Amino acid sequence: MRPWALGAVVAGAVAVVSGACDRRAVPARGVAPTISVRLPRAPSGEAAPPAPAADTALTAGAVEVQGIDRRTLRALAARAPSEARWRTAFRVTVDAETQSGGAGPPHPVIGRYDASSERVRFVPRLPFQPGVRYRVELDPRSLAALAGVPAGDATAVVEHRFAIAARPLPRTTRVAAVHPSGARVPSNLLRLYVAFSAPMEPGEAYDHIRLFDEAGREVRGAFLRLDEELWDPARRRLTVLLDPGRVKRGIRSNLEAGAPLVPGRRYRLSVDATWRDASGARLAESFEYRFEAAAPDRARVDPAAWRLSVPRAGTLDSIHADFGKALDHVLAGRTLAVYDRRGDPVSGAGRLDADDRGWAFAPRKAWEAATYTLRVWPELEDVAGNRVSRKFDADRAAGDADFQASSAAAGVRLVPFRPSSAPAADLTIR
Amino acid sequence: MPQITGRILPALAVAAASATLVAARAPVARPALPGDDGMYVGAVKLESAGVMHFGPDGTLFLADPRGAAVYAIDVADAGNDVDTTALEVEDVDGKLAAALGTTRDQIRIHDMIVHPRSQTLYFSLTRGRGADGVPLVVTLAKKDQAVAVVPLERIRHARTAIPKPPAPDARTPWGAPQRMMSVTDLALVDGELYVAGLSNEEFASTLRRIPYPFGRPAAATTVEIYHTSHDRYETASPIETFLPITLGGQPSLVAGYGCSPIATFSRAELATKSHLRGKTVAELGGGNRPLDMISYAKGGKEFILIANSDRTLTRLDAGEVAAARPLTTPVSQAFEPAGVGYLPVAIVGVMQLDNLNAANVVALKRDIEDGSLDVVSIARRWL
Repeated sequence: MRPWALGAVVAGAVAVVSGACDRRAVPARGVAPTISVRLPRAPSGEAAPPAPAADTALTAGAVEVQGIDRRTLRALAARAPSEARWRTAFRVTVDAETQSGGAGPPHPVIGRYDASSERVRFVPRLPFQPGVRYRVELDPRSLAALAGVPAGDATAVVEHRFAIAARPLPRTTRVAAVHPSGARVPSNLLRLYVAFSAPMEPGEAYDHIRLFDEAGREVRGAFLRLDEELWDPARRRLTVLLDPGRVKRGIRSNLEAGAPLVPGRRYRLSVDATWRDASGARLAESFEYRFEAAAPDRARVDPAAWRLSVPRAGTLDSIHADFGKALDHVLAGRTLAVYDRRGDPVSGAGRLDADDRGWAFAPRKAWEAATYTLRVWPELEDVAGNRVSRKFDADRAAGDADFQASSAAAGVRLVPFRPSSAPAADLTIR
Repeated sequence: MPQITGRILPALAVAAASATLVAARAPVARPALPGDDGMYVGAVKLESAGVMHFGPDGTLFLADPRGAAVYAIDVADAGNDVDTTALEVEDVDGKLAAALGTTRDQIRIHDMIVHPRSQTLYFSLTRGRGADGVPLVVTLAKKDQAVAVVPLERIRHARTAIPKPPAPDARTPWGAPQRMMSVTDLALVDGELYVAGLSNEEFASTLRRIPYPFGRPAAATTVEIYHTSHDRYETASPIETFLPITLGGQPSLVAGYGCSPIATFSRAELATKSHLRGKTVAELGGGNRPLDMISYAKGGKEFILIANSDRTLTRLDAGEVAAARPLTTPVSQAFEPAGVGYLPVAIVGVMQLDNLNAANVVALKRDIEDGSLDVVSIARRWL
């Protein structure tokens, strides 16, 4: 039966109505109870679960029923029935229309019930959600039974539906960068970073990042799909690994399906705009990174072969290292540092350039005519996962010494340089 | 479009709201000293909900990868169900969503495990999306399938940080650290919590051992395997799922890798080495990822059951795994398994596995006919 005691219809978006609480007179028995809904306060974005205190009605919203006789209310307040018992008389469910499929009656929304001298109330354990339709049912007879009072002339079941408007979601988040970024990458590329202008929603990355070949065909299975995606703490940078089983030589999937990238061919990494950011909004636009696969890189990172441009003493000019190949953008950003002759770090700012093929470091104080050291930590990798201490892809059968080299047992490499008063010169440290 | 029907009650003043909220969230006073297990009553403030594991006494271990922490939680689940009946829950994500006041598309289940005594299902999940997403642990009772939320805002627990690999040099700050450890699996064994994971930066598969009760320093071992059918090459690929087990009298771990070798590690060696190569004993066949792994005994034998992304449920004999020689010969064709043989159990779509009771294994399973996500029981007598 259609409920006949609804509150006023309010159209439009979520509204926080200010003012005093609605305090109506408690009607006599035989008058149908009135169901009303308190909207949840706009979410704070705080990830902590809500506290189970009375005040969660402010953050979670609440359903209140007025027009129940005082005797019933007093008895309910005194008895404090369990949540399961309350549900026999008063329940909130997600409206079946918004819950596709599913057999049987829906599980009631979990929450806390209480009774005061004026009303009974349900506060959901988690806030009512925008975009979800809810259904409230109150059976005055069952409520009387729950209270242990005679049902008398209690009215029929009262039903009420409500929904909270979905918030408008401006699409402002973009892909800020992809690394590597060069026009050519080795075909045994191990790792990509996708950086965003704002935090993203984890959990569906592999539905939105795709690799296509030059004919526009998707390269399937190119990425290592992990249940838990590799985000930075702010969820603004995603690490995507090309399936190492396919990148490494001789691994069967490499033989079966071929390495994901074939030298000489062109590819397109695509990030589609249907990906949602942390606010739930889709990206403002799609993003593409086009590149050509070059020959595989199976050489260690060799700091001794870097080409250094050494500044003159007395200047604030940058020391520049040309790696000769693109290094891992993130690792290069934190495994390189300049130290002075006393062994103290030189303060200044380092930055990668030339599509991560080079690194410039500008000191805060002018260089002295003394020996400095560029320190290179062993974690440093190139884009194919080759380290300073060992290659990514060591071949045991070929007697490759790297096969036995433990990646854990490598030390810091020291590359000395000395700013001089002579004009700057390019030199390769050997 | 009218979105709200019914009367809207006026909200209280914001100031009053904040004041009461602060009061409600005030930390519970710690006892002067935590218990022997290092636990105290307070709020578990999750930033994310990840993989879970139950200790034999019913202590819940829960990874919070975003918060870079692992929690030991006394869930105070006093149930003791010795029944060996099965549990079936159709449309479990719809059911959990309904109980949490939302729709199925707003629920992301990360893990499902069974309490060792009450047989209650525990789910780690996120309700809602993005900034509004709330990480939760939710239970589903076997008896009446009632759904409840574990009260993390006030619960006995202990916390420890997931140890990260040491930073190159703390004195060279290049901005806020962005290194994260994902946690692919964890398990308590011999008083240590083993945590498998992968960094979002360096490519190294690391097994961490955190003494429990928490407090003593953790240790880490980087692990590698010979990738299956080609012993010419090794890999530092991440362990996707692992299982503590005794193999031939030796305390061991069985680990499942993507694409999809199964390897064993000696726990004695893990305890003493910082870098270890495992023994690859089986290849389930390429194009597949192992998702979850459990063991159980039947007829005096121990078996290992593996849920797969692209294969049926597979059963390995632990005795054969213990006796296996490392794989050295290549397979000759795509998808071919090698090494220790397995029984392909005719069940597909299994994403999570656990022992329910002496007679049943329980699985979280995607039905390939109607797409629904269901909890199903599989009788051990068929396994």
